[in-house]
Amino acid sequence: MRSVNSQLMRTLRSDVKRCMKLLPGLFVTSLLFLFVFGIIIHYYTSILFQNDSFQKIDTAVYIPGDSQYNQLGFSMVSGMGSFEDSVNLIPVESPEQGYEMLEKKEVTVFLIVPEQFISGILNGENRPVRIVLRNEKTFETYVMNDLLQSVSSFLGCAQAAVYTAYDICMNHQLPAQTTLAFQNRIDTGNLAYVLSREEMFTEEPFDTLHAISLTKQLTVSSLLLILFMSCFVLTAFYKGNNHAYYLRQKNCGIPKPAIILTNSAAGFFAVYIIYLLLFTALCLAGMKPSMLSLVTMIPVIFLISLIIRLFSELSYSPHIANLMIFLTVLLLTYLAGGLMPIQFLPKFLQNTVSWNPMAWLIRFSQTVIF
Amino acid sequence: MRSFFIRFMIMTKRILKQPFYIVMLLLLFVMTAFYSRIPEREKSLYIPVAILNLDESETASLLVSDLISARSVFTFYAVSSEDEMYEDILSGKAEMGYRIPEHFFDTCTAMDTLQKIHVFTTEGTLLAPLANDVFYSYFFRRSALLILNDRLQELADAEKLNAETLIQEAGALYRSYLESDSVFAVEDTSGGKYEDLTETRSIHLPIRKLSAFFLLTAALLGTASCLYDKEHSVFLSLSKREQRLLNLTQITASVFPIGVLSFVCLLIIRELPVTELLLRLLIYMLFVCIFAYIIGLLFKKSTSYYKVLPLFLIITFLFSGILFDLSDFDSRLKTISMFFPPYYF
Repeated sequence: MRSVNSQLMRTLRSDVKRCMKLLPGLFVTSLLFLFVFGIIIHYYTSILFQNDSFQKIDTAVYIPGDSQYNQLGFSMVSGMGSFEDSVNLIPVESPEQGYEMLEKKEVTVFLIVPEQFISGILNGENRPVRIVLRNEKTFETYVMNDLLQSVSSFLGCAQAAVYTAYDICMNHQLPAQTTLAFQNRIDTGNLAYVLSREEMFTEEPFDTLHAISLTKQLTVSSLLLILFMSCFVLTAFYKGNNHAYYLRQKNCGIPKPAIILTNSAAGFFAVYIIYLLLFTALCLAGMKPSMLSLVTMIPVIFLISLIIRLFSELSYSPHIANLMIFLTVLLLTYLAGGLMPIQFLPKFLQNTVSWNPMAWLIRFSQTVIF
Repeated sequence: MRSFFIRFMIMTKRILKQPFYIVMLLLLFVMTAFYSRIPEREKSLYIPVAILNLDESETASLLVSDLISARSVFTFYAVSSEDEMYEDILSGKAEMGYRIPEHFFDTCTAMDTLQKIHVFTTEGTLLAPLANDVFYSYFFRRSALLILNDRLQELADAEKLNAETLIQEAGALYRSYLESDSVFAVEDTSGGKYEDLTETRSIHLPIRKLSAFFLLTAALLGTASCLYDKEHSVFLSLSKREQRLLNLTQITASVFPIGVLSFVCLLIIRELPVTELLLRLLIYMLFVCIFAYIIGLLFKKSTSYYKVLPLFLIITFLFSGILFDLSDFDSRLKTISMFFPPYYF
């Protein structure tokens, strides 16, 4: 019995030794996949949310040079985030030049600012801005309309508040000095409030709404895929023992299942080494994986090496086993939302996620690693 | 020439027996048939925006209903949880999302005490600054009155007036001013016809890139057959030159059936004009044949070739433009994809 045990240990040692020889190949394969997946992870969100870029709206603006206020107003408006993002303002010398540009299709919109426009707003005359559109029913003109409506709404509300303040002071017969001071307070307060409106918003990537970001989700799926891809080296190792070897070992008292077991143990060891490599890569990439995952990922690694072993046993050639593992794992990962979010899949496929073992594996690994 | 055709036919038969090759042919055919049946769809150009309101005040509810009924290129709609907002943005139902924090309107009368509104965007979000301005314009309609009320409270304390009366009076006056012509407004050029904002779009399937990838795979399978023959000394009696010619015939025979099918498929979906398609396809087929032949020269054994082939194919697949449109990649990624043959078709 003792000699069988020592024979078994010898087989295990020799399997581990053989497996160690495979490590350079496994490392190269894993690093190659790591590089490819690293690139995809880096560009993941931009690939997922690629969109038609919005072409800025070319807009001619005529501002009479009779007032410094008008020029000041123009530079304020053109510096607004929404205008900078969506409009390309082109100042013109005369209304005729603006109309000509509109006719030559050099601009989409032409804005004609009236004389004494800003002072008109201050004294309540409210001279209207003339808006000339090349085409009335395009997305660009609706965007332009939204822009102008928003800005005019800021001004209109601020004016309404100032007029209300004035009326109240007058209704309650407050002294002229108090009325003026109160009106100014409301006026300057509103101006400062509107000018600093961008401070009210703080922009964040939408996946901060979720406990694990999209990038981390893909990282975990890629990590599992890389571990599975070790099959390209391991299946050849598993299928490496011929019939004569099994017979010889049997004569020494070691049955075939015991050899399969030692083989699998060596394979598990190799996959775990690959996980160590990937863990180091995650640390170097600043993704802060949990140290505990070096222990808690053991069941996942065990399962992966078991699946590779199983496929190797079921197929007669390592190539077929590799192809089957690759196709099965890739398909299951895709259907589990591992390669792209499940929300991108058709509804009927989304419903299959709860039945997909790969989805559980990914979810478990996400919790364990991050 | 006759012997070339006989060999070519035999080798074509040989490759057509491979299950993987048959799968490729079927897949290309099914994808094309499916693609040609997809109808064009009319899609709204509105930009949907989700709002999560955590402020339970009446003003916040009014602001949300103002935004929902707003006439704008942005279609605001309410969501009830962060998870719903996340799902909506991820699935493309919403382009972006706003989260109004708890007790937001309690502190909105001064910018320094104002709580931040979180704007959740993706890298594809369009016109976020404009959406902020549209949001702010509706917010300011409400907050301007709240600021005024705050200052009126101080005025009432200083002038010994009844603050409640002043605030009530201010509310009525402010609303009447907003509805009157006496405050500034620009003319609405939309004509109230925002519902016309639609365009017809068709779903694009990367049939051309799939063909390019399959052509490359077929050529590489041809190389595998060549290496197998070489390893088993099948053509040992032939001269080196004849062996080389046979290898090239094998690769060409592998590419030929899938090349014909690709031509038919791309013709059906009208990807390119016929002459351009034929020319491009022939040049690409020639390119992959030469590529596969050179790759074959680098390997002595088919076993080592079979070890590298899947890795090469997986990486090529990822950079082939089937999964992601290469034209949207940045220059660095585009440069990497240039190392893989499907880029050139």
